[in-house]
Amino acid sequence: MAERRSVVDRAVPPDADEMAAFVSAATAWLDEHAPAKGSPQDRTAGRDREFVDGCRWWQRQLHDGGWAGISWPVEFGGQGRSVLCELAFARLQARYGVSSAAFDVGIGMVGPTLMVHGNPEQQGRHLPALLRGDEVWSQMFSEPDAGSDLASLRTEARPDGDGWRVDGQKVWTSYARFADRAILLARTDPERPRHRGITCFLLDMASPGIEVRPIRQMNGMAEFNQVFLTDVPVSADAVLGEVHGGWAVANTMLGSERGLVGTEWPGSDDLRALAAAGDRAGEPLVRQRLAEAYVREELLRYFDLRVQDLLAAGRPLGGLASVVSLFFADHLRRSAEVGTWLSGPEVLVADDPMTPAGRWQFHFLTAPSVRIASGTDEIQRNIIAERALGLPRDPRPG
Amino acid sequence: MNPELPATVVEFADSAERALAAAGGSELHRRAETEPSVRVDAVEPVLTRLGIDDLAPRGDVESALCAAELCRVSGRFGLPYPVEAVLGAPPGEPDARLALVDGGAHWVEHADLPGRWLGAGLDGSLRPLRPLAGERNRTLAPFVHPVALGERVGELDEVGRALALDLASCRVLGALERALEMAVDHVKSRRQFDRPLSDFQAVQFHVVDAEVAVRGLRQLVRFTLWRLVAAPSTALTDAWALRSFAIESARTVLGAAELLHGALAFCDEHDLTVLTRSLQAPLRLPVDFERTTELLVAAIDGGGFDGLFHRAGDPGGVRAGADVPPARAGAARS
Repeated sequence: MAERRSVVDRAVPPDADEMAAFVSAATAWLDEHAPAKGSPQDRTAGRDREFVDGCRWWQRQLHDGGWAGISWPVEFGGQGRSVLCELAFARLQARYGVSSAAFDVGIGMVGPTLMVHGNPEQQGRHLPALLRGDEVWSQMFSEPDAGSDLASLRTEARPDGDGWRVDGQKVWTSYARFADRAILLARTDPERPRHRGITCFLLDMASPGIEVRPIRQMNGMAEFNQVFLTDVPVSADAVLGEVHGGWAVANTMLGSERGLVGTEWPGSDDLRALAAAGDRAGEPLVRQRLAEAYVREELLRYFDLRVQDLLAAGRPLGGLASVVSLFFADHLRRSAEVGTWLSGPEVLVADDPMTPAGRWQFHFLTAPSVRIASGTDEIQRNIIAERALGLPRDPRPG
Repeated sequence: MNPELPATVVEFADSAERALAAAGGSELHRRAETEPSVRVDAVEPVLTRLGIDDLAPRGDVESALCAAELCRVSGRFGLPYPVEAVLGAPPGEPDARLALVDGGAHWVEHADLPGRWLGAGLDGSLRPLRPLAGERNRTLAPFVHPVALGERVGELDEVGRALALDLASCRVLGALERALEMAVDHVKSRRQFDRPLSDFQAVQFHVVDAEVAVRGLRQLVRFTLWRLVAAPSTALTDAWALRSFAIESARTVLGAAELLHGALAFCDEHDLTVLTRSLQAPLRLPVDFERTTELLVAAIDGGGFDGLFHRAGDPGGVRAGADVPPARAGAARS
């Protein structure tokens, strides 16, 4: 397991000089190629398709400029750098009017999963396309009755000639409307114990029988979708990993979800700027909130270093990934509260997502989703209880 | 103080809830977002039939309780209508709509609806209020409008300001009650790991925390309304205290309801998002939580603060069951 996890994390962490050089080169490149945040060229202002198109464009720029797949191994087209560099780049990039969020699932999760479980043909077909920004991927795991309890999924793939036919329903699939591909979990043997009868497929979203229905969210976006699969043909070479071995693939994939968090969220710098703009940086209560946000952010940085350290050493994360996830969701919720507070009543009516009030309005409405994004807070607590504290498992049926 | 509502008030609240549910319930909020005239065409007639224009909350306890219940029930649906503004009309201006305003920028919910609107500053100054043109953002608070205030035309006393705050807190109570009910229903019916979510004690604890918050808020609402009539000299202090607790309760209850609903909680087709968004204006206007606590502290500094169970030896506490509290030191502040 440790070996699998380290596929994208096996680079030697950079020392301070190397990191400084990396940050300096990245900043120079971003200054030259990325539009400024809030400028007319800002590519993060659009919603839905426009936003995804902006992400495709930006991923292509990253690819052509040599900044795509920073922590991917060289043999898979990446730069073979440490995840620390990837993280540093993401933090720098967040200051500009660009996003590659539509590729978070593809590059952050599907790519590393393909490296572990994919055959050379699958790797050759999809990994370069991911880095070039040609393929937006969606994750089709959750179902209406299989959320936290993913192994109870009911979408079925039955053998059909050389390949398969898929029927079922998926939900909470990010970017499904705009995705070219999806990574799909389906039950291939209902007779086996439930974890052992699931297979993972690489689904072409252009296949017949796929109907995507967007779910309008509170924040105005329709990033999530319901997907109805009716007699969808899937070829034999689309199986990722072993037939009936999908649970292992899913675990690899969900194990890399940790890498997705927190790159495009405004930080304590933004809160400080907001307080200064409102001439409130001298208020005791404001100062306390800013200091708290700063402390949480610093702690997240240290958490992150600790995670990288363990990964680099090939040691298991134990409950640490869940600690980070829980802490991060809490940090975002608190920061959004402070941001909306400092924005004043304008936050209620802010029209322009590029103004500070508009951005905090958006983040305030998005924060609840972070609490469930890669396992609910409760699931994270369970993992910490079991793996970090060695407590008995939450009572579960057989 | 009798914490139970009179039967007539309970009956009124039930009939209001049935009527508003029959008119569309939370769907009215969604419809009004794209079709603002729904507020006048579909909501107003129901409220008129319920007798909103006949309620005089400053007149007697029963009328005050009915007004409070109507606000609570409207909160249960996220009703797109300025119920508190109508019920809070200042003395001598029964047809006016009243909104509390603070600070340099003024925002008022539903200020685009016709009628004579008055804005009361936190100092009590009354000014005519008119909506300013401008495209509305429909995401977070779809019915909030920027407004301009005219010249001072009079003064609203502390009871009037307290009433406006209290009615808004009643709306918050209604929304939180319903959010809690939805959370309970959801965890009972949603199954994961082959059993309902409600079988997990961790889930039960979230629901119970929310229940404690809602019960506390309900009792404080009734206590505050009783005092509004029984001890009007402390009404404003009580109103800030109630508002402070209402905002805190909202964090607890909405936080639990959102968490327990999972991804449903932020999908527009679910009523929980209607409640969440309908609460943003009353929770942030006329002032946010931090300013509310500042104003509460200032009110306490000016006039003291006492509850049902004052300590022996305190001058001027309120005795439970007393119809009229004894005069309180420093109560007659300006």
